[in-house]
Amino acid sequence: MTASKTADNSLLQVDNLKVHFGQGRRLFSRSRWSVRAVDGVSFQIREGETLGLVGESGCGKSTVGRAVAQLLTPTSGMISFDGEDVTGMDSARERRFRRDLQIVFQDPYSSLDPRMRIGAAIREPLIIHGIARGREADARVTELLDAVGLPVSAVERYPHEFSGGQRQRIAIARALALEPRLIVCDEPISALDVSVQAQIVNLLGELQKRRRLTFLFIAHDLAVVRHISHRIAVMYLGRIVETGDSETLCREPLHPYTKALFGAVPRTDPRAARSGDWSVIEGEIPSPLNPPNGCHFHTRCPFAREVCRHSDPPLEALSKDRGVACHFWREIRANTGADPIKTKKAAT
Amino acid sequence: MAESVPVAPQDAASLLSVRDLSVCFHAKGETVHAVNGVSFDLARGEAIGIVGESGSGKSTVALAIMQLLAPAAEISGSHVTLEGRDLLAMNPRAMRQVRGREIALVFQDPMTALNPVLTVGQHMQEALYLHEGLKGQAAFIRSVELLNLVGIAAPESRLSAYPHQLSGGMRQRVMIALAVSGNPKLLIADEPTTALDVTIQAQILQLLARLRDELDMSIILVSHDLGVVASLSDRVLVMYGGTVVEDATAEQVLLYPKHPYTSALIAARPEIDGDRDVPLRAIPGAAGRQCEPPSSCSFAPRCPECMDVCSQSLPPLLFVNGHGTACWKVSGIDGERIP
Repeated sequence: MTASKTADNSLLQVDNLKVHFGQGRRLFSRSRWSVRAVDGVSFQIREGETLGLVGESGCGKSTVGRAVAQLLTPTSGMISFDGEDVTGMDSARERRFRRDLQIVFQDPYSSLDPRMRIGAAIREPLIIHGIARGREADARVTELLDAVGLPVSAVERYPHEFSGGQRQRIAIARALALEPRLIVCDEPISALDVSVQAQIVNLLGELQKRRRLTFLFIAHDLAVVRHISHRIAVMYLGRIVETGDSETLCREPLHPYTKALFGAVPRTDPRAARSGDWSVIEGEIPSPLNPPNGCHFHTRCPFAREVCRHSDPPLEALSKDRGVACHFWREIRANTGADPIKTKKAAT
Repeated sequence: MAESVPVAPQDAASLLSVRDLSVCFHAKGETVHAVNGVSFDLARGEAIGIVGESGSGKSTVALAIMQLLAPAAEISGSHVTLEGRDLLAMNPRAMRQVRGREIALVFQDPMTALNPVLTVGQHMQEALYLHEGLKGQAAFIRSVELLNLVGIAAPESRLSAYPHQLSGGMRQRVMIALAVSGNPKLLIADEPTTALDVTIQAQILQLLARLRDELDMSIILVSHDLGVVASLSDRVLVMYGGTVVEDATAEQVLLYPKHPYTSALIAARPEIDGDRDVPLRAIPGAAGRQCEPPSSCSFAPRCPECMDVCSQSLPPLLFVNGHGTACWKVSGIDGERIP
């Protein structure tokens, strides 16, 4: 399951995390049902590092983020932060943990209180945690606004007066207020225009360098994740199918799903788009309510064989950072010349 | 710059011709100028992509062609002609004949575009009856044919499904089947893949490319994503602040962009195979709302190459060797100020 248990300066360690929703009976039905949103996920993040969690909708990436931030209680598994188990903390320790971990949500329109001035919104966490008051808090707010590139005049204004990108800056300033060590970014730029996305991506990178922040960056946009992350974990239907450092994972994806995911990203170079270099896999993402047996990807996998239908491949550790959950990755890598996704396309 | 011409060259084989299209919205005592003097031609069988960020007016152009704008919208001083007939001058009855049969539209969100209480089959029957006058068995056979065409497996059984029983990608396939049911000459797809996952997006784009060839349709693809537009379009129009700032072939626009906004947009987007160590070139600021008809370049406040003239006078879209750009920096301003 897990790549390596030895926590070399790892800040966050997640072991065999499971989150199942709606365990119970349907009305008039004897069978129990549940959505296994996260089904045995393990990873670690080192201090000062960005781990990108990617996958398509319903793969459980946001649920992982929420479980890590203790916004929902996992069904089973362990989450430890700085060597300390965070599930089942007492309230005093949990308070301390909440300072160390902050979250930035996707939609800056709904994550800010529309009736709270920006100054008050950023000041709130400082007051709640008893960090600063009065003049001192004002000074902190100014400093935070400056850190995210907003003018001091923002203090007196309301969220509706700001554009989406500016609101996301405010949300980041709020998250920074408690000087956290880990920030969970859940699709922080998906609601923004491309030109503004780049501003936020650059801001996050800059803040990481200056403050030695650690990020869990959750997104569906592969190009952005690749750009911002040191390491990437690819999820499919509640499981991690591949992990690796961004460069290697993108250059040489081993899992057929990772290959398909990277192949499907449209390129801005129209020649690449038309040259047939654009591999398309068939089929739909199965419902997480009723995932296929064995390897979850076998229904869409061009390499699937009998064993894939009933045996679930474990995440095999190839090196410290690299892992892949596929029965046939070695063969697939050896035969990359005969990639069935591409050959099929050429034939049609 | 001697060969510069003020508008896109008129093509004899032109299917759709849009000239100086302007749309403004009146709401709450305010007027927003969403589209300002957009002109382009679409040849038979050609696919063009309109790309821009939110508020650039790209969807408004699509809806104005279809005459589907809200009553608060005002279209002014312009022509939209389909094979020589002016769509803006048509009465509502004649326009209804054009919609679906000659121009069809695919929306972003297939869940809201489909009626939740009707089955796929009922949607198909309605469209086929209205467009082709087909009923009963003939309509059934054609429905199965159309669902087959858009790559839906076991179409007979899918006809009795309700929209909520289908996945997002499947719903978009149904929408496309409905759109092509009237054999339109032009398919307008407004952000058709934005609500879909990336592997499904690739499937839908491939489907559109195949249908274009098989059914000999022209396509207008509206998207915020340069990559999506690149994959399907022969020509790309880049919009900013309600005006077309660049209009050229996909290769010219995406590989050799001339307008500073187009270059900035390309540099702001990380490429999946790009260099990770180069920071993204963010465009400072954000696009504003146009409450006045533009009197200067609307990108000027964010433009890294802004000159004095840019904030004083509106640059026209000038074509040099078929590559149109609306920029003073590109066209040159020496004594050439447009009165």
